Amino acid sequence: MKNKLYAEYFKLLHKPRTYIGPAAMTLLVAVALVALKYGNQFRYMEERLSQDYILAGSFINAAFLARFMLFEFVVFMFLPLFSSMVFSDLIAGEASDGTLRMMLCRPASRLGIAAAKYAAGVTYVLALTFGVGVLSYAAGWAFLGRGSLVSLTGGIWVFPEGQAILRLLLAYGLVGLGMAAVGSIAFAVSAFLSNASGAVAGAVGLVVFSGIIGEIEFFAPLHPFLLTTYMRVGWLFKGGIDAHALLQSAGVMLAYTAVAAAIGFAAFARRDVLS
Amino acid sequence: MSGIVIQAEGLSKTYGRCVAVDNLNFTVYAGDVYGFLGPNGAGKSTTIRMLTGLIRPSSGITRIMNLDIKNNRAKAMQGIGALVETPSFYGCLSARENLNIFAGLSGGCEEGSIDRVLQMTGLAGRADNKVKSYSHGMRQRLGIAQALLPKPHIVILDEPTDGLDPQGMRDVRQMILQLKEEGVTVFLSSHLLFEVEQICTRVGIIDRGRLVMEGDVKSLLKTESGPVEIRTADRERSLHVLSGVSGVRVLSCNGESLFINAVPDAVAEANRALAQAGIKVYAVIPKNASLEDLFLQLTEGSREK
Repeated sequence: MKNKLYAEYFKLLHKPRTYIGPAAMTLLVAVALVALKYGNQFRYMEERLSQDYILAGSFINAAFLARFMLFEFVVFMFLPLFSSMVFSDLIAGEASDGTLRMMLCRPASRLGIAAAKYAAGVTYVLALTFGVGVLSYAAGWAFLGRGSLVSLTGGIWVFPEGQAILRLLLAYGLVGLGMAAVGSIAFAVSAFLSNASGAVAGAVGLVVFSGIIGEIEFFAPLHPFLLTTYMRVGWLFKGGIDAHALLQSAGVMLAYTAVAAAIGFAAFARRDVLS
Repeated sequence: MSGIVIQAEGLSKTYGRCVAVDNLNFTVYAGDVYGFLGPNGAGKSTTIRMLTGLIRPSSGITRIMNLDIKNNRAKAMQGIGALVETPSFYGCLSARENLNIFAGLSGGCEEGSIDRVLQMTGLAGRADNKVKSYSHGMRQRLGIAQALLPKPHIVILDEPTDGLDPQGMRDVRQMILQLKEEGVTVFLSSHLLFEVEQICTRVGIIDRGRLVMEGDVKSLLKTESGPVEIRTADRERSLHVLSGVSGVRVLSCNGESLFINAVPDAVAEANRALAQAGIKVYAVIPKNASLEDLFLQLTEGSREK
């Protein structure tokens, strides 16, 4: 297993595609940083809070930037796209390149190969998600300073720095689990296909579709079963931390991950390699 | 005869209504260089994929070293090198890095193995270049290198000379002969019948998913009807006489020589008919049938059915 894991991490680190996600997210953090530092979007809010003696000085800091990077477009579009791109490449991409055929001619069990690939994919999405958090906090600290987190989710909430970091860790953790679930869906789809783009479209399409359904009141009975319901982390930045909701979110996303991974493993073990 | 190392029993593969391989049976013995022949679309690659566990048979069994591939693929593939169709590699990695990855999937390899196979395939000088800069022929050589990496006792090669220049083709032939001398069993699929005739000890010919002939190359070429050269004093009259002998087909004429295709009994009958007609027969010389003759005869015959 050690050799297989080494092979997968080595390939992952040497493929240019691996760096598209981190590069895009770095660019996005930089854009957000510039917009927050020099833009007027939150200036009015700062003045109002200052006039009402709620807060003195600027609340645009490292914690605010790290929280800002969890906006829905990132969580529902960017991160799922880059996560599924890498997961899809693990099986379908290698199948279309013909390298999967070369791998499966070796005396290694298919499940072992699939497990190494899956582990590499999970490592990547967790590193990408937490990387966004760490990068945005570090860049914010360097250029905006650090301090309490002012949250504008459903009111005005002020969390001391320690509380802010805890909430950010929990939020990025949940998003990381969500990305592992999305990646696992891409992994499962890619186990049936010999075309990585099909698997990306399948996984991202499912997230977008699920996100849309989650916004329509008519489908409210379905909302508790949608993955995207639990990928929204805004509730962690208002009031107290609801441990039950936190465990439920983590549980549902882990269940999605486990089911999708099991389907992917079973399909991979049985698939005919024709390309 | 030595022990059986590869065996297919009642092997079939269907895709919907299309039967790619139909109840195929063949046996490869230790030390064989087994040529697996067939026209395009005959089912050679599908068979090799079933042999290496890349696809699952619809029915039947493939065994390597007496281990059923379906249930013991990883164990059966220990010590087996395979090159299935066009070799594919990670273009962003060097040849050495690619081989290192494939060695890892074989459970590691002896120290110096990568250099050994790179040397054998003439790629040592480009070992650290990225594979995306390689030509088709170089990739083919690298494919052979990865097949030889685990010091295999069985090598499965699917069209190994595809894309190679004449020098490269000769190198591969010599490499296979070298493997044979070392006691390695080689299962070789090729379109190049001359190549197969030169290096294979046994052949199996497949057509439309079915095995139409299997056996020792030398005896197959001896026992089957083949061209015979007849030298006579009167070519025109000989042609006329031979046209009336059943089982004899005149292939060509060259000076005083006539080349006919006939089974041994028909050759004797032709000789008798010429003598009865008063034509002097100076020589009857059997010519060895080539594998190409045999292949075309078998596969064309199958198409006529």
